[in-house]
Amino acid sequence: MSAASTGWRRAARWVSAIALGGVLSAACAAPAPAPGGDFTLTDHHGEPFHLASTRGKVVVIFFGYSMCPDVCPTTLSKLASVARRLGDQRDLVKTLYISVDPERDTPEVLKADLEYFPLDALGLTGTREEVDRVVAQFGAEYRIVPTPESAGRYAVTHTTTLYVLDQGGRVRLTFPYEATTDEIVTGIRSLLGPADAPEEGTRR
Amino acid sequence: MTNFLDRIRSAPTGLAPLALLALLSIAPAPGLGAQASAVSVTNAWVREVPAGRKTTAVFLVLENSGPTERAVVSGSTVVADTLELHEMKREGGMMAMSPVQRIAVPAKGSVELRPGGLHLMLFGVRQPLAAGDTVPLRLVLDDGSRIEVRAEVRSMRPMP
Ligand SMILES: [Cu+2]
Repeated sequence: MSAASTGWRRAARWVSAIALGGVLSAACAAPAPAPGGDFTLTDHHGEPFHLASTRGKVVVIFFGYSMCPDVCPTTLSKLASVARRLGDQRDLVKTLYISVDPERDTPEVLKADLEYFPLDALGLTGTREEVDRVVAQFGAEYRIVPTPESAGRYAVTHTTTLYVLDQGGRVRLTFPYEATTDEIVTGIRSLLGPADAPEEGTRR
Repeated sequence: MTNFLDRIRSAPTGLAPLALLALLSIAPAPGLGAQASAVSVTNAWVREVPAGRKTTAVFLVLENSGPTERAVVSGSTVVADTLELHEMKREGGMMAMSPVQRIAVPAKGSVELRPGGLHLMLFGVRQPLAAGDTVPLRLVLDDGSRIEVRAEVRSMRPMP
């Protein structure tokens, strides 16, 4: 297959993914420089994690915090459904849950959250500076909101977008919080290529 | 100077429970004066709480059969230190969670607490809550009436 037709095929996927994704963030819809890039954080086993170690896999990234009883469990639950739907191809996908509340979200706290879900996922945390750098890299946002009247003391308002990276680590798709399991499965499959023949350029 | 409680404590041990009983019977029994509430709860459920997690959310439907708006103003449960009224809201591409003072239930109407919106938040969950368990909750309305709720714990894992 020629480079041109591969390029065209990729573009077509982009368009269909955009249609599927529904409401997309402005950062994604605009032909701005793709966000993302390599980073290093600490995983929920307490080990250093380098994004570069996931090359060859499709990577799903989202930001959250574990005191949140709603958005983050909902997202992890949805991604566990996605993994189930992907069947054998689930091994080609890695989920990364990056905490925007590193003071409370130690690796042990993230571990409790992640081990509950049947999903190949890592919880990532780090120093505030490390986390802030990654948030900026992806064009995400968060805000710490003091809630003195609450036992939670503060809440973290945060971006709920899912970022899907291809096997080379480039952000290729984004999905809003409301995206369905079907939409995400279709998007990930478009990056994985046919089930029986991994896409050219895939390193495993 | 000794106050009443000190006297209870210093009373012979066999008498202390009796004195305490007497004290309790002076205070109006909670809930006794409250009339049956026009507000009822259906479909109450709690997100399962794996070991190590200390927060969770409760969702339910509040229905008001009466001619006056009512509001939930507080609540409690034996399984957690604190029960708060909360709301998730979209702010552009972000989700924000904030405590709210009250959850209004319109006259002859209903309000649904659901993921991504209003919820009851439990802080300081004291034990893991497993799917199938039942959690007792008490909600207090603005007219002083109370609703006893039994919420079913539901799994967050995808269905097989
Ligand atoms: Cu909450």
